[in-house]
Amino acid sequence: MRPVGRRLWRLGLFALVLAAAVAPRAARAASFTAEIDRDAVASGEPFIYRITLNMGDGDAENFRPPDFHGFQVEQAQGPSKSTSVQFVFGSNQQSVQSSYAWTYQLVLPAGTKGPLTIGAAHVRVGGRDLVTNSVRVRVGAPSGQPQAGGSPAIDPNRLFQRLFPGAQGLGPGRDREAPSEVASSPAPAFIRVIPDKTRAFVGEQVTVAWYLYVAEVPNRFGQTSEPHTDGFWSEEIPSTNPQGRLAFGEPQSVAGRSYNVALLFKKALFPLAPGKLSITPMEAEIAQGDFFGPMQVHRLKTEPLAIEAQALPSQGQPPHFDPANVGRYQISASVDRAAVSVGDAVTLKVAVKGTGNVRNVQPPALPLLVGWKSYEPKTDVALDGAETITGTKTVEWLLRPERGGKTTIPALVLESFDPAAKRYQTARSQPIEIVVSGEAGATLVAGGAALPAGGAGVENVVGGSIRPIHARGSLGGEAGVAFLRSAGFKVTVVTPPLALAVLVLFGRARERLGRDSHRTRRRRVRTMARRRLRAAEAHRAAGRAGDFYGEIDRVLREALSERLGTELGGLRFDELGALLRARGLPDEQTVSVVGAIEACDEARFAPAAAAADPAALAAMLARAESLIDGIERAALGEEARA
Amino acid sequence: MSRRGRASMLVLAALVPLVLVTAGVAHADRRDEAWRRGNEAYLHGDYAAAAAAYEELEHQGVVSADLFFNLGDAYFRKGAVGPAIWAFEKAAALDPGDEDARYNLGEARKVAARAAHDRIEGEDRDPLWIRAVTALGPSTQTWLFVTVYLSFFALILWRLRARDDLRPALGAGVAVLGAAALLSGALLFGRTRLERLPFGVVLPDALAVKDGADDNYRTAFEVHAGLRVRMIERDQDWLRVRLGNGLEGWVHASQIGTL
Repeated sequence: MRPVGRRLWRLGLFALVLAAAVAPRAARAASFTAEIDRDAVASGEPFIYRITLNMGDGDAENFRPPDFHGFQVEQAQGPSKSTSVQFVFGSNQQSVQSSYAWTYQLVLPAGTKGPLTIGAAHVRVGGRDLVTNSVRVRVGAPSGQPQAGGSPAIDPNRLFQRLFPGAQGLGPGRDREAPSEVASSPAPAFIRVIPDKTRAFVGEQVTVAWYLYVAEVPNRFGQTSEPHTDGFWSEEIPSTNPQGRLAFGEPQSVAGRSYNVALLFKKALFPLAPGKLSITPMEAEIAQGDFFGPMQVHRLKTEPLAIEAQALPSQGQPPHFDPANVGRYQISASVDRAAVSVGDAVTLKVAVKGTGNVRNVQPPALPLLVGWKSYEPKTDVALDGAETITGTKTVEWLLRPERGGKTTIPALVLESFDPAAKRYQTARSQPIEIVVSGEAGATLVAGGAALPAGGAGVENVVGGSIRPIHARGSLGGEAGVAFLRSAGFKVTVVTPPLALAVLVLFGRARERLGRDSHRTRRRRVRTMARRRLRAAEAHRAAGRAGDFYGEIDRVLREALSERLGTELGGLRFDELGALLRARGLPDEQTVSVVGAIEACDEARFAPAAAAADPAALAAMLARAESLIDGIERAALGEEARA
Repeated sequence: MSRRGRASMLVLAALVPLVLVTAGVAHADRRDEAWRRGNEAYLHGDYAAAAAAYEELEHQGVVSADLFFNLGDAYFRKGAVGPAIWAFEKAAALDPGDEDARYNLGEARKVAARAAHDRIEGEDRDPLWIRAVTALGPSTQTWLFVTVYLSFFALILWRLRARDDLRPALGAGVAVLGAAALLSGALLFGRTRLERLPFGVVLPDALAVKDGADDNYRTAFEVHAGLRVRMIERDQDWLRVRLGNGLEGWVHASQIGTL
């Protein structure tokens, strides 16, 4: 190890030893304990949980109270501190002893099962963490009934007085400090929302009450916002207040202040689904004042309340159990007559009576009654109006026998979950026998096979239910929907108009190209003339004079025919000349053209030697080319095929 | 390209359709397997497993009236009435002529009403165009439109090339088919518009409708399983819904089954 490192290591070791020797002195001498003020606690009865820290000189810091899960913290006070100083005779030393106390007033919600354990509190003294002992709370019989208005049986202030004997002091040699208030001084009015339990099964009743605490009875009270109970089935518990007015009971003391307490309203809430459900705050206003003074308005708001809804246990749950059937129920079935004639009606009444969400409970379905016709049932619910919801749900079926004989309505079975016993229960009605007189009898057993008599058939009345699944071998999809969502649909929509447009445009273009215009006729004349003149040239070169002149004659006539748009076959030379003049061919050109055609005509039938003169042939070829050029360029008048 | 290269290209060209067809067949097999599994589970009374198998198909994007009908049955038997109503509504919308779906929808609504019934005061009927658009199933609408539309263009082409004496009759046919194509196209267009602002069904037994898209907002009102609502707007996980009487509020999107 290097010298510097060794020095640092020694320094650290020294610091550690010093810390161990000096700093924890207070901590080592400290005691940190927790206790409650009684052996057993009843539900709804307030009790005191106290944490005490005794230590030497120094400071306590980072105090953390225990987890009060399962308890309601009504009040909290502390820390209160007391310090004592002792002088040691014969020396110049003094000893300082400090004591801190934290006090909580707790209540066990009604229905709590014990025992419960309050965990450890934590504090830091002299750099050391101290923890209290955990306290086991035994849940015993209630020590007294709640007072009118639902107030606690024991005045919590008396309990605090017992723990903080204010005026008496703390005895000789002790310096007392007044307890410091953690909570603010008591308000002149507040609303307290009290559930009978904070954990319940789905469908189990939770009774929640809203109480108004006022130091002085208000002149006016008005509710501005109702608490919302989403996630619960809610039943209003009928108010006992006279004509809906507030009824104040005996005054109660809270944190040293006397309050008039009135019940605002109570609700029976049934969680509909598992999970943490919340009841939103209720808001209200009160106005207080005397005749001479101004009216003071106080706005009051409760804290939101959380209720934890537990799912119904799966263990022991009957198949197809209806989660609406939570409570303790009995079932009975009765008919208004045990003997009936064919065609008359019998009323079957099924009553489910008990405690729970009676309005929601699902009575069993009507069993299959062979040979009977049933009608839509009538349902009625009657609640008893008690704080714990009890009542009867009645379902009445009108049944009409269609055959004689004896029918047995089997026992109706109601499965329910009893949240108090935490188990599923089965209630059964008594079977009922009905004798139907009229036709020849047959013994009919509900749900079983009929035994027809006399060869006549019986009607099989089947209770209403949903229709069965479509159990086809393979799953056919909606091809139309798939096609609608595919690109193929877009192609199908776009292609026909596009194709039609292309076809129409193409046809028009073809028609346009095929039309007989000036230009096309000129083009045709040129093409034809070139071909004929080449042929004439070939005839001239071969010395075939007759063919040569025939070709020149044809080329001139066809060129004129194309340009004029009419056949020239039967025309005489004078008629041809007249036509050309009429169409606007200059006179000189007309004479020249007609003359050339005449010359060709003559030469074709002239003696061979005379006609075969090469110079004359060449001259005629040149003349024909010049004339055709003239015919092409000539601006002829109205054309027959224009 | 060399002969070898050309041969490779030919093999590839032959393989690609083969692979696609094989994949399609495999997909259809998987689909049918899940379908049969769901049916088997249902018939043996295991409704949760049946619903899970049908949901698997629904998540694959299978659109089938039979699938939603069976899913509705499975939900109903499980006791989930809200989801059952949603599934039956889907089945009835895909095949409005399916009597079974309409019957079971009515039964499920009766069961839901036993627990709680939402009576919407001042509720209006659906507008005429929505009733017209939903009178036929989407598949029927699609095929009807495609048939009429293609026939219309085919008749136009025929008329272009027809003899003069046939043209007036064909012209009348073109006019009739054109009007029919326009009508069926409008219905199909309305269907696609409706799918953008669809209806939904409340799934849980009770549902708090909030004033805003957050749990901390005030609860405006409460609705119950099976209620049909119009879905107006979506904000992340929240949906703005409107009741038949115009009342609006926000709910978790997962609490509403889209139709």
